[in-house]
Amino acid sequence: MNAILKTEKLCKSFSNEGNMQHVIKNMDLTIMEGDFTVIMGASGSGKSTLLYALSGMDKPTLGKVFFGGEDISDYSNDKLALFRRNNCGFVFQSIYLLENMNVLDNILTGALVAKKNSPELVKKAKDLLSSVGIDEKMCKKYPNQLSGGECQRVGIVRAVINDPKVLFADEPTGSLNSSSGQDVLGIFTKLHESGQSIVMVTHDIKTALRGNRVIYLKDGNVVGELKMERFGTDDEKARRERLGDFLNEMGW
Amino acid sequence: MVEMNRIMRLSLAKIKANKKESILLGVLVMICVVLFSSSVTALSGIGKITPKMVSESGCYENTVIISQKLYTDMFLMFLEEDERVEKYDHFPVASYDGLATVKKGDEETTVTLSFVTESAERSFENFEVETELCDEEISKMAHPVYLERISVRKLNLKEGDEITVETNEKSFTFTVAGFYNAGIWPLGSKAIITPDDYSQIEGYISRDEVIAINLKEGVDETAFFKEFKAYCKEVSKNDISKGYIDFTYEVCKQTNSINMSLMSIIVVCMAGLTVISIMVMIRFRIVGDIKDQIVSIGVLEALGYTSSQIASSYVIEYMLIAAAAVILGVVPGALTAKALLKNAAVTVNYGGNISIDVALFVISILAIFLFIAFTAYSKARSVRKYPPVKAFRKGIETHHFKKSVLPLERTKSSVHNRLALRGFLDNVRGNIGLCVCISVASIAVLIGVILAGALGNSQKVLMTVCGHQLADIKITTVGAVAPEDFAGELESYGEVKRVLLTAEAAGVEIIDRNSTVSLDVYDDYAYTDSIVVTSGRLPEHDNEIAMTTGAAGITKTKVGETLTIEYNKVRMDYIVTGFVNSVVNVNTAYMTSAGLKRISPTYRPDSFEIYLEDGVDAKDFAERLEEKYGKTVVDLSKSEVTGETLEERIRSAAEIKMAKAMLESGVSYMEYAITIGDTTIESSTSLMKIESVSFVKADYMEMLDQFCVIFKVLSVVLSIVCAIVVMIILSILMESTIRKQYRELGIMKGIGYTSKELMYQMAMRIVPTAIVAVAIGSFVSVALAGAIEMVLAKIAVSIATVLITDAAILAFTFFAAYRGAKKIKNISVYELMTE
Repeated sequence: MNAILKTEKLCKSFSNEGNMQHVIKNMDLTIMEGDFTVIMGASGSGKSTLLYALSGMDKPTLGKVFFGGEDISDYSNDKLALFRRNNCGFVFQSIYLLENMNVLDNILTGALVAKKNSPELVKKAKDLLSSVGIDEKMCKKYPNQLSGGECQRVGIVRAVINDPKVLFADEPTGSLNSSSGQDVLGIFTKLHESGQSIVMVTHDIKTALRGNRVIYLKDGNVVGELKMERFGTDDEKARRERLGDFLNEMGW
Repeated sequence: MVEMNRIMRLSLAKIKANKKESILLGVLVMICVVLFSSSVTALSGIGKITPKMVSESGCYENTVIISQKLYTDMFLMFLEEDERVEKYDHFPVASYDGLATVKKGDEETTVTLSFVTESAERSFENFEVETELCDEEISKMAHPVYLERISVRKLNLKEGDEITVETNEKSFTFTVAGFYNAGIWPLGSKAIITPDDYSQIEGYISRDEVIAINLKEGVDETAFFKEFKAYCKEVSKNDISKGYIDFTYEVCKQTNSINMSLMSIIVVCMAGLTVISIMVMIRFRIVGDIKDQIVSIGVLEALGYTSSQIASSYVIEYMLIAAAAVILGVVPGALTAKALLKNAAVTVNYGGNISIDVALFVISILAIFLFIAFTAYSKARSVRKYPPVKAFRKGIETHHFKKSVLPLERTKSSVHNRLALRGFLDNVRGNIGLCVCISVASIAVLIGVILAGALGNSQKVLMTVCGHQLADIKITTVGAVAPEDFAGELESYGEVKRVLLTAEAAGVEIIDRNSTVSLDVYDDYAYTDSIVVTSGRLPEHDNEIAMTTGAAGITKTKVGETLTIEYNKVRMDYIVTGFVNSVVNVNTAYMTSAGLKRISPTYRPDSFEIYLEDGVDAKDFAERLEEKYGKTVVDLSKSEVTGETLEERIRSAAEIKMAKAMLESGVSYMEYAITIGDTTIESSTSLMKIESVSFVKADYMEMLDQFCVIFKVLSVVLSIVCAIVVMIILSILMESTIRKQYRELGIMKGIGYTSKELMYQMAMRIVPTAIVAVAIGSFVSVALAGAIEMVLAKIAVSIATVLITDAAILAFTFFAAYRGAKKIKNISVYELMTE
């Protein structure tokens, strides 16, 4: 497997009323293609900051981020937007669907900016929606007419419609109830099985179990890493115990 | 008090949160305060200038100017006996027919100038002189002159300055002795000179008699002066219509006000644009704010704030902005008002003190202030529609249930254009205000461009709106000149393109309409090129007459009507065939030579209009004519005896005598023979054909140049103000929209839309509104140009110019919106996602 993302001495700091807060400190990290990487850590450990620095949503303060061998840390904001358009998909905790657009338009807003419209694109959007349980009738509905789980499924389809090289997810089940959360995780698992590289931030063990690599952050640095088999190919109980032991060791 | 304090804090918090928008709105309000208060104050002040001129100078209110050739003391009998007359006086005046050039060092200014002596001036007005020079210094001056006080500003003069007045190739040098308080004077500027200088100068320029009259209160001026003119006609042996003009106080007041108000009216229009823009912007912002802050409103209501208090916070927010703008706008407003009044004063030669009506100035500012408060209150009241629970749920408006407009699955080309169009359709109502603003701005710019295009080029103006033939050289003849033969002589020159025959304008009366018009007469109007009809056609037959749109308006005449015309007590009927453009000769009618012969059988042309080939200099050609025909009779009559030998001096003296006889006694032919010893000196008037030469086109060009420059400047100023206002409106609009759609824009950026793409979408959203607005603006502007044409003169509207201006307005609107949307660049996806 090739490395799809790599950081070298990555630093990210924020200034708060004159005080510098160093959230990521000299981090060297490699994310492999096809991996389902889960980033865990306590609140304030820099999980989301790392995710957004890796995905080009935010620029590092110092250090470099390589995506497929290309340094993206010096890109302008517009170049980063083009980079995200062609390479990344995002699933957010708050979902962030566009309220004034129906389900299909929400998907196509992301798709049409990267590709020209074609019957295949619309068909692909509808097929993807169908694969996550959103039927043709629901395609015409607006976000405020859907449940949280349905919205998040739409959010996932929007994230993958452009066949991103990496799918980034920030607490995708954070705002969902247990049942909806499981449905959404099932979709992520299926995507991973199909070869999709995924980087996900979570503080939920059930969610973390779906990954095959768990990295643990503390005070802006990677302090531990756990490698596991692909979800569903090993014993779930043993997997849970291994993850539990790892997290205990990390001080979770 | 506590409650007021809480509301004030809420308002200040809102201003602080939207600092840039508040500043932009403040700038817009400031522009409005400056334009509105200054124009209203100036318009009111302008109306008072003419009465002030009369009261401060003690001048007569009404004047009648009669050519010295036609004047007789018998005219005064009427005034002596008529009990409507309060007082009257009369005195001679020498004035230039055209413009005189006043030179001070290298500086040159052209003015309409007349000369009177001090005693004449004192009989007309108080003649209060202001001078820094003592009597001794003035008494040492060889040629002292007193000028109107406005000359200090207008001609940049001071006491002791030496000026040279030049015209008809004669120049006179004077020293400025002081300035006096001038009243209303119908002959431009008035210079007061010594009797010696007057007797020198009157030989070279036109001499008239001024009859100054004050009527008792309540007397109908129009009726009085009509009777007076009729009396003068009756007692005069001559036809006085060519050399009699009356200027009544009321007409003077109206004319002065119209001339002075033009600039202020344009400023009022610009103020109107800003007022509409402010109204639209405040309403747009409040609606946006309420939608944007609906949850906060719910929280405030839950905390115990009443909806009236919350609404008050909006009103106070705008009143605070307006208050800041008013404070900043007071001084520029007062200065602009003063500048407008000064400009108005210069127009009518008023040099006294001009003060601003402070009460009116304050009232106009308060009116804007109250207007802003009312506009804010009328819209902020809608807060009442949101009780806390409804507000928490963001009002029903934020929920979408309707069918998707322009679904993206049908996107054919650019997704950006489609999203922009959707953005436009989602807010059609909100775009109405913007449409009104851009329409008004478009009208202002297009009218400016149309007027500047039509009136901005002196040559073009002359050719289209003069209502007069514009010959390069106009020659009047004396003596027994056969018109056709002389025209043939002139046409034989290679430089001459054509020669048209006409006569000095004669005044005729339109009997049924109690009106006098001067006549332009040509053999065939097919050869005229700058007498342009707005409707109908020019006369072709001897029973036809055309007139200017101005004359038609005064006499309420329609094409096809029959008018009875009187000339030298002969009356004939003529059919009106059409109306002609004219901003210069408003009271003119047009007949063919054959037509004039019906009422004046002895008519024969005595003026020759020479049109030169392109590139031929009129002055050079005039010199060639002088080589052949000698000096003009007018010049000869005013020249001094010259010559080195006795014979030359005798010939010169004889020529001067013959010229004077031809001009003053109407002699058509003379010859003389003088024998001195063996020598006989003889000659005749056979070569003295040319009475005078004038350069019509050049004179008009000079007169209109200033007028055209003013229009160009106004057009540019109008466009700049409109551009600034539109830019501010669009900036506020974009800022508000971005604030309202911060979340959506952040999401779009997150999924890969670049800032430039989103800025493009935002700018494209206003394009449909701008297209509709510009289309409305174009229709209204063309219609307004048509309206101007009806009352003034033909305004040639070039469709290409309108379309190019439209395209420029659209492009400007797009780029102003694009630039206004640059705040999108500041939206941080990361901050949005982690908030």
